[in-house]
Amino acid sequence: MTLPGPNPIVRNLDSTGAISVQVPPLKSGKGPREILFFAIASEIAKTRSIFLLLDENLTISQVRALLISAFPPLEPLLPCCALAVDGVIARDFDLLGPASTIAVLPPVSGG
Amino acid sequence: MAKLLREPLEGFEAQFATPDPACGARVMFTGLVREDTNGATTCALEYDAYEPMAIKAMEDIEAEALKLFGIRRALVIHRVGHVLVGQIGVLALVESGHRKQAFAACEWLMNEVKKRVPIWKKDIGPNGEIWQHPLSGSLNPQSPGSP
Repeated sequence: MTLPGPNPIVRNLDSTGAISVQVPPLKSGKGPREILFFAIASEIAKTRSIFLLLDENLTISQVRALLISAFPPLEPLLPCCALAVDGVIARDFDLLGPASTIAVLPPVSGG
Repeated sequence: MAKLLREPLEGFEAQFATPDPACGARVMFTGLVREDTNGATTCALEYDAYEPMAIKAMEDIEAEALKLFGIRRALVIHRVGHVLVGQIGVLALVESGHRKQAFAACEWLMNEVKKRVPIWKKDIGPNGEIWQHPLSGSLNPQSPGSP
């Protein structure tokens, strides 16, 4: 994938499109987290899921900012999206912790 | 038990027919894909869902409905994937001793589904496709194609 211009917290990992996000200093362990995109978020991100290396001490608010860094076109949408961590809606000040999946959920429109 | 199904819901109502002798009322809402709303033409809807979370949310809503309204049965079944105009997008069923609780619970059930369940619909029309989100300026209460 094509990443935005110079950005100290984003770098390409390999040619498969996987990207790594690092936020120095890393105070504790980090691991691959699957980021899931749905509906319009998936169309804008041009992917259904990616894996990011994210520090467990990140807050959800920081994760949101990192996602905007990695996917600038998501910037207008992300403030309106909920983030679900392992299937549970997270608040902005919650810590990411050891979660394995983060879902980007636009405002719902079922029914 | 809530379900998300990729196959058509037409004919699914039959499985609700098993009578509960304690129930004097059964209310079913059938949400159909509508062709025209406020001048916008819809050919089909494409439903996307975060499936594990959507099923959990629908099950939670069913359980809450049982407690809140004192009803005996609540069930929501939602389509995912491509649904043509006139086809069923969602079914909600409530059974209770009396009709008053059944009507109220069925309406509440659908309102909660539309508010809380991570399901999204894309309106597919002759002039293009649009996700129905607030940012599109065409979300509820009058989004095109909404049952």
